Amino acid sequence: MNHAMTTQQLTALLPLILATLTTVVVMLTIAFKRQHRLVAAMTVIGLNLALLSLGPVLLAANGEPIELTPLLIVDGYAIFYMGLLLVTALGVLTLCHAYFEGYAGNREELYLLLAMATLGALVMACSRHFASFFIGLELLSIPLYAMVAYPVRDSRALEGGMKYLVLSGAASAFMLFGIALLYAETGALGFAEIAAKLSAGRPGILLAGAAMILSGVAFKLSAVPFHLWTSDVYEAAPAPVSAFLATVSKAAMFVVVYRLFVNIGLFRHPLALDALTWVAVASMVVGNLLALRQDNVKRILAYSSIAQFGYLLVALVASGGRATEAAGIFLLTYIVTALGVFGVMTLVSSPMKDRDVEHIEQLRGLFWKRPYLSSIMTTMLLSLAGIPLTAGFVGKFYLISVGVDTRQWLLMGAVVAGSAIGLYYYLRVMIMMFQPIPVRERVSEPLNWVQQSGGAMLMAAMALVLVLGVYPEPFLQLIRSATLALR
Amino acid sequence: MDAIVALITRLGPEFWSTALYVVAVFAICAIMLIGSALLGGKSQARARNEPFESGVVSASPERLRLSAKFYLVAMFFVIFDVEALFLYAYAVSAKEVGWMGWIEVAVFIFILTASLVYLARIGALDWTPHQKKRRAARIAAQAAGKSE
Repeated sequence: MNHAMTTQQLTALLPLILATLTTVVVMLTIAFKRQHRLVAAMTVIGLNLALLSLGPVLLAANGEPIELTPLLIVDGYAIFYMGLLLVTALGVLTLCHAYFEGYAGNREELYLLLAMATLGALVMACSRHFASFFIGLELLSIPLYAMVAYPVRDSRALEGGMKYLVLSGAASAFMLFGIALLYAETGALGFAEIAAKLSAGRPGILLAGAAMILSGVAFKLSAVPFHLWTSDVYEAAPAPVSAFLATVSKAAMFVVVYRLFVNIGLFRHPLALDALTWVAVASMVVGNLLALRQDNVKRILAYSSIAQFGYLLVALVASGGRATEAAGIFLLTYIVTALGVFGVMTLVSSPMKDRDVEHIEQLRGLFWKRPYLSSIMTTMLLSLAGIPLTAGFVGKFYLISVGVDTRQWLLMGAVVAGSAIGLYYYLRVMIMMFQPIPVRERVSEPLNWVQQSGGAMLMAAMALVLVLGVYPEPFLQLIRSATLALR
Repeated sequence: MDAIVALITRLGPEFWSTALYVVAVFAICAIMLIGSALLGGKSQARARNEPFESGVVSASPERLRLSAKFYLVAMFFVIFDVEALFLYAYAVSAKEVGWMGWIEVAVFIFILTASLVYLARIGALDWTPHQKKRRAARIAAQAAGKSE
């Protein structure tokens, strides 16, 4: 066994090393100087360094995948999604800073948790082995339990954290059992090695293993029928943590599952495709229908994210050809949009008070008080609904074109029906923001300067949504460089 | 008939002895429970139904409250103990993994130490409750204010 590491491999590890270093440095900073701004700044600097280190990694890789031990692989796909996850985590960080300014307890540990969860997400983006997959997943999930329950004196947040802990633990257990069954049959844990030995195993046990892994994955992606936790946890968690749950946590899971799917070649197994098709259809229909009768905006967004991942699963079912591209562009547009929507919900609730602004009535006439925020929210909701000239349209367009190419008519029908239903509740929130309110209440609320970084991030997200909607070509080229070769 | 004989012989003596054992276990339980219920006398008293052992009440009051500190310390012990286990894995393979392994273990120990420093600094290892300390600090501050 060769334990030496080449410079190339060390360079490829740089993002992970820097993210790890960030957590340690942030932890020591908290220990010696407990100051909100300092700790937030340290975290931002650390994650930015990790982001910048992707440049040398790209140079070192030079178009070829770098294999780091049997566990990790840094290829174009991993580099692109590491970048995406890091940028998203940084966006959530700006929101956290604005939001937790109003929290009375210790504010600093949140950044430590966030940095750790981001590290987990990065590991998942590079993993090509079930061991690193699971380590990354747990590293992402365990800080999230604490982040959901971060305002410990708030019984709702505690309840949400508890629910997430118990259910996520059960999902992880299912997944581990599934992995163990696959291991029992193939004797391998690497994605590619399993693929090579798949034909030797007994189909019944392999099927049971795959089904258990699928249920664990579907839990994390909150796909129906494993979606029950989503709305409760999103509602109970502080708004920026919901943003993290809806973006980084889900995206990291999808990224690793897509790699698993492509490496193992599951698209050749009709039963797996059937199961995924039904999960996707159920997610689209149930997610959209449940959102219809909600009055709580955070819950609406939770159900909407269930439906959005139903759409994304289309790319998984239709793998091959341009599916990786479609998945990439949809994930990109979804993340930008979700970050924007949850960002607005965070900023209207910032600095943190007893309860977040979440009932739809609380948004009544928001335009007359905070025109910028409501304009951003409007753009984001239109993007979620998939209206042309916004990012959401481009993402959905790609998905539908891939679905039509591979003749997934059932899925296409569900996408169309889901989008039609979705329009209703997105418009409902939008209309509420433009309701007239008495003139004397039409004062623009002062924007605290700590919220400005969050506001700037939201402006950037809105600009990105519009650019993606009007001129997606540069982003498409970026994503094309990050495709996975199908086996 | 032949089919039954075939079944018995096919499953073999290991199966049948285990099966007999399982049946016997249930039978003994049933005999002890049902027999004592039918034959035994019954008497009622205040404490008759409580379990006891050698005349000592074995259960403590059910609302026993332990200080949260105990759980905290137990958790730290479990975490650091489990982490230290990895060092055993290194110890048995120290020569094989060479300098690379040494660096990795050094990083590992550094992170462990850093977290210990963190715990000590945030007061997680202090046994005295925070409030008591804070009260002491406040009283000291008041005393200082008066003396000025």
